[in-house]
Amino acid sequence: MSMQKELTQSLIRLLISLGVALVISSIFILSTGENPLNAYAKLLEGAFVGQLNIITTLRWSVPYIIAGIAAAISFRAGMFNMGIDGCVYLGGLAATLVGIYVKGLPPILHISLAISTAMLVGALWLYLPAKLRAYYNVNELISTWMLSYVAILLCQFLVAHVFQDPNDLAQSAQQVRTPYVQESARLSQLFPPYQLNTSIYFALALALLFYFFAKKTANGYEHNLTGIAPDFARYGGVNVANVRFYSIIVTGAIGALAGALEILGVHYRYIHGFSLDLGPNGILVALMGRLNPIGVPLAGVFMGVMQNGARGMARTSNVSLDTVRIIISVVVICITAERLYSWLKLKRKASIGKG
Amino acid sequence: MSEPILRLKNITKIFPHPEVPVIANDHVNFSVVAGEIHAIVGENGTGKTTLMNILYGMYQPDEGEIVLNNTVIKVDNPRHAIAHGIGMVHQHFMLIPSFTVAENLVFGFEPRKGLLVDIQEANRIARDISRTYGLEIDPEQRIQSCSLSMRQRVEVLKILYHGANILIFDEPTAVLTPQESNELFKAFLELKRNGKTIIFITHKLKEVMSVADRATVMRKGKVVDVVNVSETSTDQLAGMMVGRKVSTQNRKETGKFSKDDASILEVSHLKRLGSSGRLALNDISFSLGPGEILGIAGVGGNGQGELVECLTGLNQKAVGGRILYEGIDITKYDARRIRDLGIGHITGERHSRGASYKSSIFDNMIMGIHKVSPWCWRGVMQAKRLRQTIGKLIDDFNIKAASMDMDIANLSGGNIQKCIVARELNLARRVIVAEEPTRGVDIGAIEFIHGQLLRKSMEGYGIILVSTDLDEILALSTKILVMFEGRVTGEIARGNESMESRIGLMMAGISA
Repeated sequence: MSMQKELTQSLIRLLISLGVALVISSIFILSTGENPLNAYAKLLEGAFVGQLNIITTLRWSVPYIIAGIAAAISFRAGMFNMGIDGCVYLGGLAATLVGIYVKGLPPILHISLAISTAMLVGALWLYLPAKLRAYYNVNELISTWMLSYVAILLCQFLVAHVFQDPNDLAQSAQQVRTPYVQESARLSQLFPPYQLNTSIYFALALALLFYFFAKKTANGYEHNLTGIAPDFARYGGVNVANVRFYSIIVTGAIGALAGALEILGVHYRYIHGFSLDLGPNGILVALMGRLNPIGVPLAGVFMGVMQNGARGMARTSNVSLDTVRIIISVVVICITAERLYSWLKLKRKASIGKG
Repeated sequence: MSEPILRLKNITKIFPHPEVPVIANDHVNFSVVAGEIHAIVGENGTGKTTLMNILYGMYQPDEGEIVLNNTVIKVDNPRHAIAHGIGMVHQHFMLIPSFTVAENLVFGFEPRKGLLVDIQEANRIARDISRTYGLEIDPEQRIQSCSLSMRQRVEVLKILYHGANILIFDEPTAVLTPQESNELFKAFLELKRNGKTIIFITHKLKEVMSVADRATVMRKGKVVDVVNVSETSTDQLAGMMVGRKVSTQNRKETGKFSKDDASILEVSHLKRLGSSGRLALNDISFSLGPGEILGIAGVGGNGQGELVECLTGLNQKAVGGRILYEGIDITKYDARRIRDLGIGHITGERHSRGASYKSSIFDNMIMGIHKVSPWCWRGVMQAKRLRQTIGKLIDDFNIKAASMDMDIANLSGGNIQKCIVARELNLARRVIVAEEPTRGVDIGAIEFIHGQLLRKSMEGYGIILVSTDLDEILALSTKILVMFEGRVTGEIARGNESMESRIGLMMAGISA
């Protein structure tokens, strides 16, 4: 299938699902006594109207695209990797520590070092579940999920007890956070003072890389077939165990990248809770994009739009932020409802067939 | 002739498709008389199954009507069909593996004792119904431990329990050994004696001749003819089915390879454990020379599958013996290395291993060449070159597909098998392991695949042909090995007299 055809297909699917989702969400909004149309207008306004809103929408799209690709890498190989959130935190903390304690490097080197350390930590964190899954058939869903909690709590513990900002200690502040990273470790903002920064280039590069890998390389082909038909892949000479192993590991590295970029590009220090559910949301993005290398980045942007729009909507109307969760949930359900779509496709084909 | 009990009038069914909508049934008229055994014959993809699915309520026809006992009925779903006394046994069984035979049988209509299912009663029902129709089952055995033929019997009894008078079978013998098929046909006669009407879909003409009363022949979505089996012949039926004369393939010459040529593949004293911990392969030895077709005969499940897995690297756990390919010990090689060495493998596990049904024809056919030069350069697949090669294979193998980007699942069984054969023959350099290469495919495809295998052997390839279809083995092989319980019970060279009867004995484990 051509890139363009795939793009249109992803878009059509997204729009149809969105339509259904908006109708269903309307019921909830109506029950709160608000006018749904008004709420949706506010949502759109929050996402697209004005320089601030557009740039902030882009800023949010970046981590969602990256987390979405992280999830897609495992899911495409048929691995239910639930360990992304843990890797986001670990990556964030690793990047922070390199940013604080390594001194005297030029920015390019400093940032590269911080990011590669983060990715390495993320990959190593999932080494054990990957090994167990690929070679000993231990269910990856549970092991990655549980390790994710371990990672999150470990980060919190380490920061609270070892790396806590001394100024905070003096002021007996409640927040668990480190001091700021050095200037040389910070990604520069594209339109100061807005938060959007050069991490968007990483997201774009990663999306291109993902497309190239999935569609053009022999390894990408084997990766995909392992997920769709593992017995066929094994028969065809694919080392299915290796593919699974590396998929889980790479997901860990990319999840950590998402965390590192959030820290180096936005917060400049590790603040516990900074992830805002990037892991689970990444999985939603991957599912909304149907694990497709074009669909996933697109879904990442969509997630950015919804999340940022929702903040606008919540600011300017009585509709709560959680409404957006309903919309997104319904979109995910609609998009993953294979039957619905194949029914639509059949209808379309029938009309073409007759005409 | 008596009045038909069931008539399908002018049935038309079109499957939409953006480029070429498929007309699966084109104004088909079909009728059965009460108490007859009626075969629907035709190549794969001629609309036999579609027609029966319409009758069973799985599809709705675009045109036409169903008349049962002179009244027009509407069958919206299988439940309606069952209410009208029409039952269907599918190619793939729909039973719950963890339930017992009796529990599956009464599923949905369970006898109750208070809130619980009355297991004793269910077992009794199962025994009764099994005795009535002479279909032997063990009510308390779990489905997962039942053989395929037992599962099939359970399916049949289930629809009888639901009150079916008209029984439809979709390729019932595709999963059975010859002996089991004979058992099934005996059951058909028993059912007929009990006043049931049987419709069965097949493309094996022998079966039609041996058991059916009448046959409806279909070709390309249309009915070609309806014949009384007693007044026709296999050749005539075959002619109607394919629309031209078929010559049943037979090996005529052996190629120009002298016996002195070194063997390509040499298996010596191979031993392997099976899943139960017993020896699945016990001291297997043979050699394969260029131009030879080594037929491996035997009732299914006597170690053929395990042998093939060893030869193709899908199982590297041989506990003794070795496999030499061109002098290299490949016993411990994995599938990739073995494929790279040029051993092609047409798998018998077509649905799980042979193809990825959710992928395109292209994705299915590049497996193997996708990683080697010149189709791949530094890990990047060369799309243009791959498409050229696949396009050529599709042409050469006469695969009927609108485009190589469509899902392979949209092809008929015969065409899917041709895709698999094309891929493996293209990949193979010296040896081809062909496992049930023509099981469940239509005559046209059988003829074609046999032709391809013979051509390859003429070119000097060594071919291992594993098949439970003895006719296929006899038609193609230069020498025949018979397996029984993991051992080789005999080796026979081609042209040996009384070959067939001796093989029969060996298949039962008696060295002859």
